[in-house]
Amino acid sequence: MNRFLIIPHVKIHNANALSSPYTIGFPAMTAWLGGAHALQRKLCAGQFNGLAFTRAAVACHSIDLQTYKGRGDYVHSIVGTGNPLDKNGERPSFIEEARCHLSVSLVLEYEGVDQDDADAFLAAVETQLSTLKLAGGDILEFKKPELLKVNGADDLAKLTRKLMPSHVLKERRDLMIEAMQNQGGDIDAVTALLDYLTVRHRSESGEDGQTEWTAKRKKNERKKTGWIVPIATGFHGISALGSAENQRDPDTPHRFAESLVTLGEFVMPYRIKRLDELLWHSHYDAENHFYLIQQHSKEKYHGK
Amino acid sequence: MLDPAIENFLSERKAARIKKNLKPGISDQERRAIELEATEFFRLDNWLPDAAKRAGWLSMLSHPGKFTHPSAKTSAIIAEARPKPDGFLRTGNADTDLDVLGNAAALDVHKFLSLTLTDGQTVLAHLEQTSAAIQTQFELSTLPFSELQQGLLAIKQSSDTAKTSEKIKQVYFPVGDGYHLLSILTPSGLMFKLKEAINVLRFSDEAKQAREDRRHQVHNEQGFAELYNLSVIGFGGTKPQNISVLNNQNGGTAYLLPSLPPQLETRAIQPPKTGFFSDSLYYKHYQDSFKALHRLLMVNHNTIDIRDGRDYWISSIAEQIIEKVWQFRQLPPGWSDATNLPLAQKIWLDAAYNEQRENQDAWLDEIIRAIADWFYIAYEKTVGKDKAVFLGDVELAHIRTVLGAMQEDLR
Amino acid sequence: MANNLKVTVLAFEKKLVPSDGRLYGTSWERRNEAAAPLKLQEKSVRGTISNRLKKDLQNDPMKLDAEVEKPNLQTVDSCALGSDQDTLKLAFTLKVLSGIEIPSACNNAEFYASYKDAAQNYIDSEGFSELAKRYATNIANGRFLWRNRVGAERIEVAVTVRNEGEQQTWIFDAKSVGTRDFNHDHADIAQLAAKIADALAGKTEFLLLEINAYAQIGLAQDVYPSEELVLDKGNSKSKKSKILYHIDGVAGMHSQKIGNALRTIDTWYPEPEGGAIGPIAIEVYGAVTNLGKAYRTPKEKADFYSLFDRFARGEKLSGKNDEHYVMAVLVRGGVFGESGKD
Repeated sequence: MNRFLIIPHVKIHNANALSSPYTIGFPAMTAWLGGAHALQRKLCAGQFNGLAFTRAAVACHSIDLQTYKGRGDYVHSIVGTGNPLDKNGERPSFIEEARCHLSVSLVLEYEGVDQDDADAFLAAVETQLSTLKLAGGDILEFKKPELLKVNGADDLAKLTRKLMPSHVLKERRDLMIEAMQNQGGDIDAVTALLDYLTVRHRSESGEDGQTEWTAKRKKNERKKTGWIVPIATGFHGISALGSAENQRDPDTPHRFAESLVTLGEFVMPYRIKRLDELLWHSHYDAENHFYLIQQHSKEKYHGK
Repeated sequence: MLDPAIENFLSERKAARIKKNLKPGISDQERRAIELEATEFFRLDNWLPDAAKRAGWLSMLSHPGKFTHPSAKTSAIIAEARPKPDGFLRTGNADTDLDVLGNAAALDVHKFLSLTLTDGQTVLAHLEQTSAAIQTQFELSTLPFSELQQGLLAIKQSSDTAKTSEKIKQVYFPVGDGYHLLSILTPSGLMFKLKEAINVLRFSDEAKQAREDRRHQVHNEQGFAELYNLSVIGFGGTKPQNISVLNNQNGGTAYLLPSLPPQLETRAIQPPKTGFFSDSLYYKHYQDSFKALHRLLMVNHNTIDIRDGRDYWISSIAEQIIEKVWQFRQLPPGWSDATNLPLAQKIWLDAAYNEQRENQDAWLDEIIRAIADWFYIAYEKTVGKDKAVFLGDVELAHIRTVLGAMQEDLR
Repeated sequence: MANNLKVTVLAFEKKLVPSDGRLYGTSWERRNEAAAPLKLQEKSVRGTISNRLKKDLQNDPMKLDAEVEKPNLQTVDSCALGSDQDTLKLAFTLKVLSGIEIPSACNNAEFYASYKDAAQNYIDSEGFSELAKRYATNIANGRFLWRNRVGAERIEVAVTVRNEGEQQTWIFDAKSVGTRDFNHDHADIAQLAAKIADALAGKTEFLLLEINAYAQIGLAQDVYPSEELVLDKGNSKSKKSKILYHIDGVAGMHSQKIGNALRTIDTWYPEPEGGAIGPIAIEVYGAVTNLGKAYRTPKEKADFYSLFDRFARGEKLSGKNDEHYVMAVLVRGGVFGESGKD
């Protein structure tokens, strides 16, 4: 049996939409799990010191990306916020920040809370969440949190129906792995990624000499694919663990890292049939220096 | 013989220096002096030792902090990671260029080190390997090769102490009972590699020709690929050179791929008055799916692929209905009170019946039967009565089975 | 300054968290009963192309192409009340948070301890009453209406506490509350201020306010939502010269703009040449964007960094006003480590 805390319809304002240096839109999974962890720490510091949020899912009801596209423009431009002026009264040079407003329901799998404390737990969640930020944005409001037990597949539908209508992310790293394996030796992740995101326009000459153009997305014959997007699911350590000047906390081992991006699929929750297609958890892969937020266990990818 | 690439590099700069110094109306003598000075300046014996001195003003790196904030100063990291088919876009899984930061007065040194020699390798690669070829090329009267090499390679030396910045996002990641603190940097080479790949899709001659052919409905063997809904992000505003060399080369912009869910239908919807199937489902919206189903029904043989295909289209039509149902469930509870909907449909559609919907099953059986009946009619309507394959009891029973398997989705 | 108190990473989360404001049209008489969302009008034919794709577009890439290749037109956005509406309604929420004594990031334990003492002293002696009074005044006077405030016949601001289990509402006649200074003893503002002060000082966990402002500006008059700052990368020849902000189709005021109005409480900056210009927004260099001028410069040691260095290390500042200013910058939030000065 799995126990869940559901926080419905959290409205977040100015969340960080720059999920990686290559993607814009739904905030990175690392940001959501980071938020869950921050909430856990706050609750642990209070009455619920045994609490652990073990896995999490985020159902996206609506998202409003702050970009703009003029008529006839091919690309979207980022809508900025005015930065304060510097000491000379001039606008400092800056890097554009991408923002979005969104409404999500959070699903947090938990353990370590006595069922007799359920009411106190929910009250504490409400108070603590009001003072937190999530995915870099401000929490404006949310509906009453609730607890739910899930026991088996039929019960799972009870959970997923509570999230409807919305979209949740499924990890589709399998598609990208396969694409990279098919490249035979010369691995090029850029091509593997773009392959699933482009629309291919092809033409065929019929018998009557007529040419017909068609437009298709890449489909994977054996693996069903739906709404495929690039997603940021973790970090890749690029320097040795150690300490660095100006680190925000001198007592924690530090290293430099970059975003890890792979493929994901947005589906409506009712289509989820297994808990591990819904829930994400964090995992440190020391061998590859990967700090991952993932759905599937390591075994799935390495055949152990 | 000096490698032609090096030869050209020096002579182009020499010509530019002469042009810059020549003022109109100067004497021949002055002109000769200017030319002589430039020739001396760009003699390898003179220029190279000077370049070796200046190389240390630059640093090559893979992950500049300035892409996060223009005043973030971080260690010059050169990340090394092996390629693996691990499903990640990351350093190591694509061929990328290193970026360069530092004093603009030394950028020519970087250009020099990036020159590709006749054997296809760069000057920098030769220096790193201490190749015989480069030792011959760089045999100077003014400076021993080893000192020259050391000076030039200073461009790749990072400082001994690691340095991050409060302007950089520093993320705690749980590891065991504790944490690691990660300073998140931008792999600018990889980011611009993506830009290059997208620009090939957008602007290459082949892609342009193929688009042109499509416009005129002419056959094109290759076709083309299109990416929609790209965004563009800028670094450094009107001064991209303040961020990095690669940024400057790319005009200070990079592409961002969209990572968004599909838009949920939010338009105001009319709730049904007498019946969901008659009032709320428009055959037109299901036409494509029914036609696809029809094509499979027309096939005479009955392989597993054909059967799977039919089931796929039946469930995809059901999924379209499910999404519609959820729109009505968003309406204020009790909206169905003012309608003549059958009770089963009220339970199905109106949020006021949430509890009954979860806890009872009789209404659901009724709904599934009703959907199967609607299937029968909708199929005939969309495909045309004369063309439609007759759906007998066996077929209808199968449709009910497929829908039955989706019972919890439909609930 | 002792080197062991050097702090290179220091950040504070903002403690006043406004939502975006939504603009509605209504009539003064019926303002409490009904209000219709105001839409942006584009002086041309069609609405903007969405950055979101409908599912059917994704499935039918041919249509996508047509979408991208739509023709160009020169346009501007505008927004106005309907012909039967004489009153603008602006609605937003404001969250006030506690915890000012705890930075969200700080990498020097000694500095942390010394700052915490200084902040606690301020809380104990001042209880945030002066800052809260000023924030409350800027709610009551409707400063957040910005240009919509100008020329309004009547302005009313209704403030309701939305914390669970609380029900308290104040109605302010905004025009009777000044925007030039904060020297008043308005009883209702004092009540609202006390609520805000309690949250900032940590006596309550947080405060959630709902704010509805009504400005009677005349039938069918233009109103002014926020203007978008588009960092345009498009290549289209015809540019839209003015892009206004909307939230799901409802004309909107940016939360940043509302926040800026609420923290326009700094009257403590050094007297500039030509005299003071009234309250300015709390900023580290006292910068006023539309004037392109900074009123608190490091040269005069009146900027935030100069004052905060001393304050956080337990030094006495020359007056209460400097302390108010320092704390108000912390309420605003930001990244303030040593390297942030330049």
